[in-house]
Amino acid sequence: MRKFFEAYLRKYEVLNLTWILRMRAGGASREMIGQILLPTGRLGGIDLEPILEAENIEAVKRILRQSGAYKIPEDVEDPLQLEAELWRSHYQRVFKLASRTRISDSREVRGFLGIELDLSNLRTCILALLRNWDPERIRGLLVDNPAGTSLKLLRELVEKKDPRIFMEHFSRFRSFLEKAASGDVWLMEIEALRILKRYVDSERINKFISFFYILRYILELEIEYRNLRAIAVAIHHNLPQESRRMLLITD
Amino acid sequence: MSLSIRYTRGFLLDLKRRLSFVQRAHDLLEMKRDQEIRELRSAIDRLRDLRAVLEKKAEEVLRDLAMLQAVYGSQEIISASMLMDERIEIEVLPRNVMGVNVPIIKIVKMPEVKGRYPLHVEGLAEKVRGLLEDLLRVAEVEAFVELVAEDLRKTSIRVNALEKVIIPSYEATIRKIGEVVEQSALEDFIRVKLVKRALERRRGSERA
Repeated sequence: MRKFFEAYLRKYEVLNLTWILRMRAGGASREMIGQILLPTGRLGGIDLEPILEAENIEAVKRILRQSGAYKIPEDVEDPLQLEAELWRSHYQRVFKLASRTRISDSREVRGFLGIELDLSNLRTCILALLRNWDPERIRGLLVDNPAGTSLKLLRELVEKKDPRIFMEHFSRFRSFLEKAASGDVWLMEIEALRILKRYVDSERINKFISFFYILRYILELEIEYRNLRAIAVAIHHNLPQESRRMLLITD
Repeated sequence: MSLSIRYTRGFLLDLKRRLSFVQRAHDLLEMKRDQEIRELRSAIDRLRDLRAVLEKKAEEVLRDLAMLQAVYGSQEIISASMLMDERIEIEVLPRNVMGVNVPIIKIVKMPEVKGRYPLHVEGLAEKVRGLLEDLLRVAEVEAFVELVAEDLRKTSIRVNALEKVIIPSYEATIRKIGEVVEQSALEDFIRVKLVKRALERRRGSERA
């Protein structure tokens, strides 16, 4: 169980890596990059120091490949594709450990991970289609989801180049997909967390200490952190009250 | 006006020629001033419209930025902004408007944002791109207004100086020289008359 949670929490390491890659691509200094990173030191992942010291993007990719934690194909040049590869490796690891862990609430856990990844894939599909991205490129950014919508189906739908098909096909995530069409993309992130919260709230937790209970607790913490950050940023930018309310992830 | 005045008919003619030249210059400058006022008015109207659009767009961009920052965190926005490695290329060309060199901003290359940013940031990047184009247009019109207004100020000073100081001063000098020349001509005429009379008187006494 500990291994699973360590792997799951390495999503913060993936976030750090994507930020490092972007900052490196823009020629940011080591100090500048260091200022924005999340303190993931105790998550048991890869050491970020050599990555921060790396001379260029190629060196970063080499270090990531050598670590064995992430599978980075040789021919990946596109920075967004590289980020997708990091997430792909992350979810592969998480699903692998989730299936190996023998627990009574594995259905709920897989369901949670499946929704999380489905929402991420759907966001990529619908936003990319709305912005007229090439379907070939969109396909490369999708991550396989063993507990949700298959990659094959998503690829077929992307090929049709019509965002409305996604709304018809994924009616359970309609509220989430509609946010993309409204133009306010940040609302998608909030709606995604609301959907996840609704899911964890709807599932009964039989035992006080269970696998799913911890996952739910992590999500609650994430939501609390995001709400506090949203309030702080909204106050800093003097956003109107109605915008502040829109930013909060509540029931 | 400092002129070494000579009270001669030749100098008077020369002054009159100069006055007519100054008056023509004054008329031309007055036309230039009127045209500059017209250009300035239309540019100010254009600037007002452009600024209104720009302010609206800037507000929208700032709101989107604040919302994205609130939802995804500043790290996401800062790091995404680093993905752009191209720069805007512009050429500033001179255009002559009634003797004033005003700049024209020509956008040579605007960085392409499509497909360069994470999908949730791309919309904002596109808006910022549009905002930059508008900013350049506003900068161009503002520079035009500033330079033409400065030239208008100079032209107005010149027109006023010609109208209130130089032309009246020429006219006064011409009037004064004219009076002196006329006076001198009258004196000459009287002197000639007196001499003539004296000569006639002398001739009469000689005959007697």
